[in-house]
Amino acid sequence: MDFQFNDEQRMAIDAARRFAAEKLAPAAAEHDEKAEVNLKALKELGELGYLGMTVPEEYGGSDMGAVAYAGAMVEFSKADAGVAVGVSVQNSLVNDAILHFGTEKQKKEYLPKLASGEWIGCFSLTEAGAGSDPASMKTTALRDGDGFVLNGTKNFTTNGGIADVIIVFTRYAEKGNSAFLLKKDASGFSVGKHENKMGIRSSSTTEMVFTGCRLPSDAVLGEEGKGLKVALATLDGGRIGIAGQAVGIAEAALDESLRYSKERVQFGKPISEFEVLQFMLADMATDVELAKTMLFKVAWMKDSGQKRFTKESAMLKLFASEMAHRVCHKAVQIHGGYGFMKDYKVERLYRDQRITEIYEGTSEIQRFVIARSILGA
Amino acid sequence: MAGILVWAEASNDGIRKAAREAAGVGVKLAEKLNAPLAAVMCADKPDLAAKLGRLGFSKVYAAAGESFSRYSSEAFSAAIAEAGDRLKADIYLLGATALGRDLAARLAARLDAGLATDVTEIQWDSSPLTVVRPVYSGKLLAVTELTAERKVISLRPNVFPAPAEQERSAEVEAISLEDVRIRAQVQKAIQAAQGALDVTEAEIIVSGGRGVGGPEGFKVVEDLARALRGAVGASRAAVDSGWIPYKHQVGQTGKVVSPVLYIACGISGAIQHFAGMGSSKFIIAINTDKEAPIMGKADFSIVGDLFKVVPILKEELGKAMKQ
Amino acid sequence: MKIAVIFKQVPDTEAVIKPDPAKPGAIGEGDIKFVLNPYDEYAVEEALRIVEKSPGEAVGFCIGPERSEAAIRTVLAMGLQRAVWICEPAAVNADVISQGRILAAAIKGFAPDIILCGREVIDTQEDALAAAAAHFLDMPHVLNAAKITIAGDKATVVREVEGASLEIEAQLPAAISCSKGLNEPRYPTLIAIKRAKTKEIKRVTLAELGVQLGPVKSRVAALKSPPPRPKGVRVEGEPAVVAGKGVEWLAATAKVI
Repeated sequence: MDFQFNDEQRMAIDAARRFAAEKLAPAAAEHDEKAEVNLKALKELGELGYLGMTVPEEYGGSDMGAVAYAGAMVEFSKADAGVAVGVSVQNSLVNDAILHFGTEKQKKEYLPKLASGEWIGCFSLTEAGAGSDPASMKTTALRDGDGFVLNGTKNFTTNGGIADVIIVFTRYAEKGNSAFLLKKDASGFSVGKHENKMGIRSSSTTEMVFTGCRLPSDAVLGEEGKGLKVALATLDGGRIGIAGQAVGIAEAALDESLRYSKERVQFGKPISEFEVLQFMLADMATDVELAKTMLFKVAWMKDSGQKRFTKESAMLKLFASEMAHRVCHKAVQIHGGYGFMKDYKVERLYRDQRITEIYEGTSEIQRFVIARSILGA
Repeated sequence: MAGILVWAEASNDGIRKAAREAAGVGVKLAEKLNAPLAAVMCADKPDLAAKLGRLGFSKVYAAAGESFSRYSSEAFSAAIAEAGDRLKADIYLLGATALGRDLAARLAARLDAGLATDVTEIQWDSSPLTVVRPVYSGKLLAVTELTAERKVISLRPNVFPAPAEQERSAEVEAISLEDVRIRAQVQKAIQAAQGALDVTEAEIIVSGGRGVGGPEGFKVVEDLARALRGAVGASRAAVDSGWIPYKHQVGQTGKVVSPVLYIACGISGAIQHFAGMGSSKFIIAINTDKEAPIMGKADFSIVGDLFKVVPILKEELGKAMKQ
Repeated sequence: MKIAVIFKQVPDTEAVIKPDPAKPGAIGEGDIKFVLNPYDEYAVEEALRIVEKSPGEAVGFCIGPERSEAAIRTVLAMGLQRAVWICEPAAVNADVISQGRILAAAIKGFAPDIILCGREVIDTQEDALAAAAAHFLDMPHVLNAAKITIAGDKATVVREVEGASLEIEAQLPAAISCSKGLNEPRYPTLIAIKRAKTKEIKRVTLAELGVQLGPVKSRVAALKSPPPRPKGVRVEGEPAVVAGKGVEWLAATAKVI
């Protein structure tokens, strides 16, 4: 075993840290307050190669691999978890889906512009009545001459309002489900309601409305009728991004707590000198460290070409997101009344963390996946 | 005993304060070491040279002529080296002003001397001569022994006292240099707006940070600075947000200052900012956030809204200053 | 144009710095994260902009211990074409004037039109390197550039001094140290980070450079912490009341007014 970043990974993560500190952190509270997307930063990250970290260079990607990607996700999330989820969706869900299931023509058409950030993509799976159970989706794709006509409404689509490229999952004409790849100017497609969220408010989350949306036959992504395979396989990799986000949020909450507890004086001494606080901080640091270790293990599994890491990525996402919950909870507690106020970063971290237990597979789904795997069912 | 030479940096209207402070150090060192002391001046101002006697010099080397009408490190260092040769100087003292630091660097290279920049303390009775200078942005102090035969020392402004002036005139010896090659020279100086004092020289600095909220918010900071005849400073957050030019930035990646009074308005006081102003004699902090790091480090901290507190401070201090 | 960029690796600005109890004058490097000296980023950026306009070569020169390789890779990822590295302890521990002499010897054969470096290294707070290297290469120097304009064989540099900004004309070749505000340093792209691996890093020794260092010119005998500030006074309440207390304190305790 060699548990070290190589030079490139370390530099990619260092540069991400610097970008996060200089370009994301100063504007994060304001973007959160106004629920505005920091699209400028997202585009710049595209130019630097952070939106194509797993895309091969021949398709315009930077091909840095999952370990560097996971590390960069941690850094971005420490500063602005909303921007970070945009990065995660582009890399893990949109690019990876096209890379693994797209035709050569689709790869050549879409990947260079996605990897460079010229286009932003989204992954539209969830519906009002189909969350953890995507098979029950109602959006349809019916054959129409040479192509397809899509009808239905997707919701909770991350990057929805800023997307140039949409991957959408529908029921399929004959049977099963299909994934389609389209651009935002497709006739019959429109962006619906913009959600007003509890956390990651600097990301865009919208409804995606398909009303007689006509697509050519080569818009299908992956095998016709096997859309759920595309969705589930892609979400396996997506868990690395979300776990990275959870680790970043938690690490930021830990950093804030360490700083605050050394400065805050009660009963005549810094509160960090009280054992009750020290034990909380020790638990938080341990939690963060363990999740981080698992994060890089799963990323390494992906980089080293292991096909199956469904169980490990489910464990990672489950542990990291619930870990972030525990750590942010304690961080607010350490800050006392101030932690409840918007003037303090932990207030935002506490809200931002919550979604990591829900999206890209709830904790309950992760437990289900893990149980099925270990029971050999 | 070899001599001590002080660079008397001229300003538009006399001798720079930092140079007078260097004179004070020179006088004291000369006494301790029982060494000859002289000043060197590179300016076409003969009256001024004679007046250096008031600072305790009996001898002044004055380099004059066209080469010295505008600053160049090449001509100025050549003149100081020449004066040093004549005096047989082994200690060269300069105020660590912008040009003082520029000149000290070139001079030290030219003399192959031991260089100590921005010195804040001198161990008067040490041998070899030992000085203290901030390092790691003031997080630590380096006790530095100058073991070279020749030593070039630049002294941080506002740290050492200027000598008490006395009625005395100095013997002026002219230095004329031929064939100095000047390949980099000041062409013109654009003076800052009248009354706009630079933070490195100011005795009072009023600084604004993120809490100032925007370029308009700096008005209250500027108003207070003006009332106190001080300079306007800023934190990196304010500069990076584009609210105020970089030259106002105090901190690790800005300027390091040692004023008598530093008033921090809406500045959290990150370690990098403190590195730039932690050696101020008195620090006042005004912040709504009582847990901001600066509030724990200030001598006097006011928990409150700077937009309410600062204008009243200005009003009251303005009155008190007039009395 | 040919540009030499002098750079150094230093502790991150957020690092907690403590003296090494075992080694007088040194810091404990254990947990410290090291980065490229922030001001050197401006020098690298400026060098890249110059060679983008007037094609040539931008080469990095670094004195630093083994750990410095990370900073060297960083400048190569930003775009410098190759780097020369002196990592012998005698060079690493030398005073700033001697380091200027060593760098001058290393740079000499490259015969650059311009030498650039950061205005100061933020660890030892030395700002004399550009001037020292310039002296030993018999060229002029300008420190603390906020703006550099090159025309023909001259560089016009704007720098701030107390209360004024100066316009300085320098004959090339010249050494110029770079201040914040000169430019906005680029972030290395991920592709450039990967390409940096293939760029040349050449190690040279003092013997190869023909540099013999004389007796030690200065040495840090000890590092000490600044004296702690006394505990301050805290006031809270109505703006008029707290401001009044502030004025009283200034008059009575600080005696500033």
